[in-house]
Amino acid sequence: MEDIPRDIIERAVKGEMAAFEQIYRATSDFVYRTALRILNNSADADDATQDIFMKIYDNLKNFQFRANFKTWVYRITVNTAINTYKRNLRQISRRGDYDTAIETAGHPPEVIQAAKITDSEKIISSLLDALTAEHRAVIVLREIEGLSYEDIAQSLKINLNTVRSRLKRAREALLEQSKKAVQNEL
Amino acid sequence: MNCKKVRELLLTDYLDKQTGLELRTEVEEHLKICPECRRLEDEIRRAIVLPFKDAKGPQAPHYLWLNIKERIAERESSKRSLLDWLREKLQVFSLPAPALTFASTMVILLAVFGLIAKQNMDKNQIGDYFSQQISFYSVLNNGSENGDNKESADLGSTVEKYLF
Repeated sequence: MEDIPRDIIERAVKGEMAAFEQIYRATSDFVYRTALRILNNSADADDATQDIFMKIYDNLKNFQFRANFKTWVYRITVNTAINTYKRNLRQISRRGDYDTAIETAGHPPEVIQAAKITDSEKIISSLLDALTAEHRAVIVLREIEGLSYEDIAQSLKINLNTVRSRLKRAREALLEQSKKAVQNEL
Repeated sequence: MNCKKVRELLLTDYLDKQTGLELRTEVEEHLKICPECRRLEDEIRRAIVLPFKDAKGPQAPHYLWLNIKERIAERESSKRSLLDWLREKLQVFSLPAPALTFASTMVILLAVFGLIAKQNMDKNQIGDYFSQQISFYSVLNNGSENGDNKESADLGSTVEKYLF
């Protein structure tokens, strides 16, 4: 994610839409990708990305520059994606089944395009499916976005040892999932 | 270093290059002599590192910004309509200055008079209460001599008559 100059944030706080668009341009790919990986569903990732940017817009005035802006965005992104994932799980369990055909219905062609995933995307998707939302978050931040342990700790508001233990458990689950996939292929 | 410790480091700090040089060398020395840990390292790289390598994934679709802009515009317009509604309701404050001054003075005067009247009423009520209490205690002290307490006085005499 690109660094955002302080004056752009200050202009966005004052309600300047062009400045907020600059923030969006610098952060949207990270936000969308992270939401997509945690939710493992493009339609949900769309909704979550919009919610995340509305939260950023609403809370910009409360951003005190004490924290790093990127860390602040990471935190909002991961928390919103995890909450959406858990809410969806509750809704699915209440509804009984989940019709995946509904996911792309009525969405613009770009969504349908995004749904046509490659083989490597399928592998990533099946690996992430084996993880809890919290474990997905640490794997996405570390393996895909390349954040340091310190940045992950600050973003998730957890200590370094918790980052380590979550990464360890997540990777053990990934190893297990990979073994299962190999067994199924044989 | 034992296999358990190496396994833990392989899954965390060693894989993520978070160890110091000394610890890294220790792990590498162990890997040279332990085929099982070496196998685990290979497995980790194949199953965890490779799939996510260069897996940045898709960019945010273009229509998302349009949707967000629309939501912000709606939010701002609803904020504005709330402000307009408040302004409309508070239009009384746009009265001409002398009329507004007169109305405010009348309201303040009414409030002050109301307060004074209430205080006087409270004082009278307190006075009445105290005078009632004083007369009650004087009845208790004087016993049957006071006409207000005839019943208990009579009862006392009847009991005395019955007993003696």
